Amino acid sequence: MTLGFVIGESKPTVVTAQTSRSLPIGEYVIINSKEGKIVGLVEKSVVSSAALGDVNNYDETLESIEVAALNKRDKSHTAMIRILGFLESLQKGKAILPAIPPIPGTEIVKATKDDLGQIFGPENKEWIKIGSLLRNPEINSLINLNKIVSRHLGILAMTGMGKSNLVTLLAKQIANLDGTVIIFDYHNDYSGLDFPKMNVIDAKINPRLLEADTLSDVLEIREGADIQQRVLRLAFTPEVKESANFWEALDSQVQYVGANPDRKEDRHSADRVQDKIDDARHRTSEILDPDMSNPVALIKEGRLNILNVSEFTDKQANVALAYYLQELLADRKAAVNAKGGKAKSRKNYRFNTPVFVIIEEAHVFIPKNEDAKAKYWAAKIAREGRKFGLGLGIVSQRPRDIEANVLSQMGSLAVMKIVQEDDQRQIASAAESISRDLIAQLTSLNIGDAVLVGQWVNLPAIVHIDEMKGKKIGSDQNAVGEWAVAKKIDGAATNSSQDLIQKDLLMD
Amino acid sequence: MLNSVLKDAIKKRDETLSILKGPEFERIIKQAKSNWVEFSPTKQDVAAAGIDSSFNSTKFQGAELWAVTAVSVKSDGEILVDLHKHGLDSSPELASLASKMEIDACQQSVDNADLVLMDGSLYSQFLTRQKSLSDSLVNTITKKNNVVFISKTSNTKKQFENLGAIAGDIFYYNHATISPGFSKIHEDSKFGRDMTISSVFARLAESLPLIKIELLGSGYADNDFELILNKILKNSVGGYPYALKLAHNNCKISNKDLAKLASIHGLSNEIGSREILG
Repeated sequence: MTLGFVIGESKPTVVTAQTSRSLPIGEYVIINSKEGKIVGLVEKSVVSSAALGDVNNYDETLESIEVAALNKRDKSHTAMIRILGFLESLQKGKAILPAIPPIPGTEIVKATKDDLGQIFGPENKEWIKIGSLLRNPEINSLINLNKIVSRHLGILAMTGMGKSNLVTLLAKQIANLDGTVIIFDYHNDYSGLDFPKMNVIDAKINPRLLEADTLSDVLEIREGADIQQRVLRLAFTPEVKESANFWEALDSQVQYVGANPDRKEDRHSADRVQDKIDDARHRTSEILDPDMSNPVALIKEGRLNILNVSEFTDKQANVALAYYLQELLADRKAAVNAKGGKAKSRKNYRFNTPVFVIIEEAHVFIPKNEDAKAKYWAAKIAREGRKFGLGLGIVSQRPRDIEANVLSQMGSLAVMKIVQEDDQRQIASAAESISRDLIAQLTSLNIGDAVLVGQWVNLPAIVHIDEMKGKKIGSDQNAVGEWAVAKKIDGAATNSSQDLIQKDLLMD
Repeated sequence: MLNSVLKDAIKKRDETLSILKGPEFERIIKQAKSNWVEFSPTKQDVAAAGIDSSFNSTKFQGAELWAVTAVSVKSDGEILVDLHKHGLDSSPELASLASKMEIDACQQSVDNADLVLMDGSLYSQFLTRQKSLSDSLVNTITKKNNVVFISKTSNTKKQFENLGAIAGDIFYYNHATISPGFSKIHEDSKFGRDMTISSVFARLAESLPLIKIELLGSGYADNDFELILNKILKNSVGGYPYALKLAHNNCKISNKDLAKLASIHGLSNEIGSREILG
């Protein structure tokens, strides 16, 4: 079906078309060039009216509407179409752009299921379905899982636009393929998922395994408290680390350091450190466990592992994430080296196959212009993870606050509705394949709609992500509903207690 | 602009604006008001066609590349007549040719539309055209008596000259009235009895700009113009018939169009982009 024709100035990368109807943004079209069929994506769509183009007031507008309705030639539908490559090459997974631009006057037709099916839904085990094309809903949208594990993934959107749904969908699909997924669950959103291959773990930190400065963070010793940090560093000896009763040994050692007659000024700081240790032992005993074995041992291979860190403070969560990332990278390095025959010792790794780690609220752990341990390890995995089968998925509603170097390492992106211009700019600078016109469309996306770009798709695509059935995750609280239920229960309690009292026993 | 001009303008401002005040001006306004026939037109469903022509040319090395078009378009965008000519001459009579093509378009439209609206004035048709064209025009108009001339502007000074008017008649009607209606019918037989022009200044709705409506012939009554206003009101935008706007947009020959024509003839280099772009 002819949609329109190329007009005006044509380039090998972009053409303008005059069409018989307004083309929706995100629709794929075929440009019937003499060199072969070319696939194009509608990135801008404009409709103008000759009659309503230069109206001066309300009455004139009404009159113009009347004449515009009569005149079949009144409306002009113009579309800007980005050229994505020759259809034939795209169907083979390669994007080859035309060397010469389509000649103005070239026909533009609607892309059929046959045209696009092979591009967006290659029949291969590594491709999994996550939704359908937003403007061509009859065409399934598949993504390449290998690419996100090897080249990482960023999921960016405002709150409530479907990030958690996409994370769940991907994680379940990976686990169904016997892959290992670890979600670093900042808000305890995922533990209630209904999925048999799931392993929910309350993340813990074994303080014995930490460095002194990291333990200082975990104990929430202030950054500027140099003397307290020094006392802790001196007290955190190898003997303390190996002591059967870790906390008591540490406490005694801190007291000992503080009692040094040559440094009387340390006495007060040592007392403060002892208070912090006492706090840690009693208030955060659930998450700081010196008697646990390696926390990474709780992660199960071939499962969807939910690592709940909701009980942690930001600093503690940062330390925990850094620890897990460091251990996972070391483990995968060992595994790959062993398989490559490079390891000298016997098997010293846990994960035989690639692992995909998803970091929720990534802007907290990988902040721009701030030093954080987790950020260091996330950046390292972003750079090196590809070689060792350790994929990173970062999820955030504030891309502008994520370290640009890490975001730009994400080989694939799913971008949902984003309104803030700062966020849009950050995304544009992180992903070359996402054009300004496509970025401009991010504000108009609805819940569950996403722009997919990067290596996990053959072509940039605007898709509607399949909704996961079951428990809603990451959803807002129903405050009004809960208040109503609470009131009812309260009322019921009052009534029942009054009913118990015999009326004739009541005194005036 | 030189500051001295501005200073002088400030000094003479009152004198310059005397056209807008004073007893003479007030007398003319009073007369214009008394000439005004209050009438609020009601839309009448008719198929109206607008006719307009355009010409443009570019001179180079003693020759002239030219193009003339004339179109007749209905309010719904349907093009009834599309005439065009172009050539490479020395000193072509483009205005006459455009006029002739307008009359041709009119001839072909009178049977296909209820009302045929010609852009411009009968005065300019009779004043500047050859006798043969005038006769042809009269024959065309009188064939169905459904041809009306409409112009947005007018320079004629017929009605208030004896009161010392400086500006054109339309100027005083614009200042005297804001209501819908039309001025007293003015008949002018200066081109002969068979070429009498009857005209009014009219406003389709309150506060809209005036248009000048001209009919060929004499003896028209207010009712005849009221019927025309009813017919024009339908499909008018901002007080002006949309068919005429469409006709103008369809026929205009821009310098860009002329450049395309030069390119088709391989004359772009001969003429040079400077001449084409004006």
